[in-house]
Amino acid sequence: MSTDPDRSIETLIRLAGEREMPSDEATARARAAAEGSWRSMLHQPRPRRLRVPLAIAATLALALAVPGWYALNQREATQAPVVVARVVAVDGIARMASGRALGLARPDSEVMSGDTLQTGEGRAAATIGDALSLRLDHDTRLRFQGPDRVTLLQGSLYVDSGGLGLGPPLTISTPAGDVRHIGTQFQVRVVAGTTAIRVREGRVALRRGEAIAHTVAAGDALEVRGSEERWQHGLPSFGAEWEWSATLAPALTIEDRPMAEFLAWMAREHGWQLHFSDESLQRRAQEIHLHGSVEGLDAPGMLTRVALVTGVPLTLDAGVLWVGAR
Amino acid sequence: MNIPDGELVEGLLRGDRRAFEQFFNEYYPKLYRFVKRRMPRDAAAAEDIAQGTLCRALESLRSYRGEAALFTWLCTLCRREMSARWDESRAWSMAPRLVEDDPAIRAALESLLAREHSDPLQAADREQVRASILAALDYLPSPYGDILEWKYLRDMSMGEIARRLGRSPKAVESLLTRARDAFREAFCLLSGGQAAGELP
Repeated sequence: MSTDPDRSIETLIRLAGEREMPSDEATARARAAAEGSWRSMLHQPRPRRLRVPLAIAATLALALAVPGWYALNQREATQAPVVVARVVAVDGIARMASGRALGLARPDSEVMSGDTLQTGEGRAAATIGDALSLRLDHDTRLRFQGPDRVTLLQGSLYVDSGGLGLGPPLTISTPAGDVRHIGTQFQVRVVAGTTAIRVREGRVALRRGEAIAHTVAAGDALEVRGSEERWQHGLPSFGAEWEWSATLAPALTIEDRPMAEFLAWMAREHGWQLHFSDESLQRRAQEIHLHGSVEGLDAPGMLTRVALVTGVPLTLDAGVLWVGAR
Repeated sequence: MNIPDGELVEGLLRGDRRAFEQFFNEYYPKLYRFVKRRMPRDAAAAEDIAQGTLCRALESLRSYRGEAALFTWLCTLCRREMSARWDESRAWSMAPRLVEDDPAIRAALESLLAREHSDPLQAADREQVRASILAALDYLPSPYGDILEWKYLRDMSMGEIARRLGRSPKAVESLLTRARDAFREAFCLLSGGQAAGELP
């Protein structure tokens, strides 16, 4: 038995072996999330308060008790969570991790800065400023840093800016970098260290630091895993890859709305092209007003009902919605 | 080169990338292990909670006043994060009670982050000893834990460690001595007060 204390320490450390490390995938994910939080903090306005070097602060604590209390309250006031988004739809169960609480996410509930919206078996949708639609697929966790920044911790996120560019510019932090949209529809997926971006309409920029690393255009998909990148081009804007997001689309009230508006909404939500059999029907679609409801119906059900009500044939074929006789 | 807590925080507040890298590389694995020791069967939850803690810490960094060591402050946030996420879950209710969670031990360990010294000891069984050693390494002031691992596990020379830390070999020798003293004290606290020379 050794009595040499240094040898004892060496023996102890050898006995324990290397300390356990988190997985590379989790580390990449955590780094992206932490960097997003760091940048968000840097962009927050600095609280107005006395700036005292840390080492001196403790010594002066008593003398500065009253102004210190005031400064603390000022700081907390500037850092108080703010409403950044609103949950608009939940399909199944979704949860919100908010401060110390983990509760159920419900339609119409507010999302505060710092909150994380998470789906398991369910899906959920939120809006930012009533302009940007954010839809979360199964097994997704999305952290809201502010109205202009979210971090996709895991899973699939679909973003629709409504095509009008009215919403605030949104940055999505991912392990591969920051994804910024330019008036578009796209989805980002983070699974096991791989970040995949697929654009349905418009363009998105993938930024690393201050530089744009890639621009992904409509029909393109980019997968990034560490230093590996894989591109796909000419992908369809419709199909199973996208269809989940339509299940979370805000409900359309069709009562007394023009048929043309319904058709445009369907085409946008499902990534279809609209094809009218003739120009006169295209003009007439503006004048035909719908009645009733399509609530609770799936896409084929909606088309069937509107075709019955209006007497205008509607046929879907390979991503094209044919209006009128083919 | 290792940056002291105060400078590290100031660097983060200035937007210094080097400070961010050190902060992340040092504290993410430590927080992960901090949670994992309490949830030994759930690595994914540990990764998640460590990540959440770092995010919250960075978002509220301006509220860090330097009155406690940075790791102590992070552990406080981490306990809140664990409590928030796992209050109602089986994983949390089944979490082991750790020696380091005893208030007296925790206070003593936290004081180690500001200073160091003391005596080694023994423990009841190898797993307990191993857990105490690993926890002690994480509680040591930075970069003591790394130096001890590099020296004793990876057999790195003083010169190699010095180059890695950007310090002179003489400064590293002095750091190693202080690291051993600090480790001895931390291990002593965690394993109940017996000598490191009397291993089971």
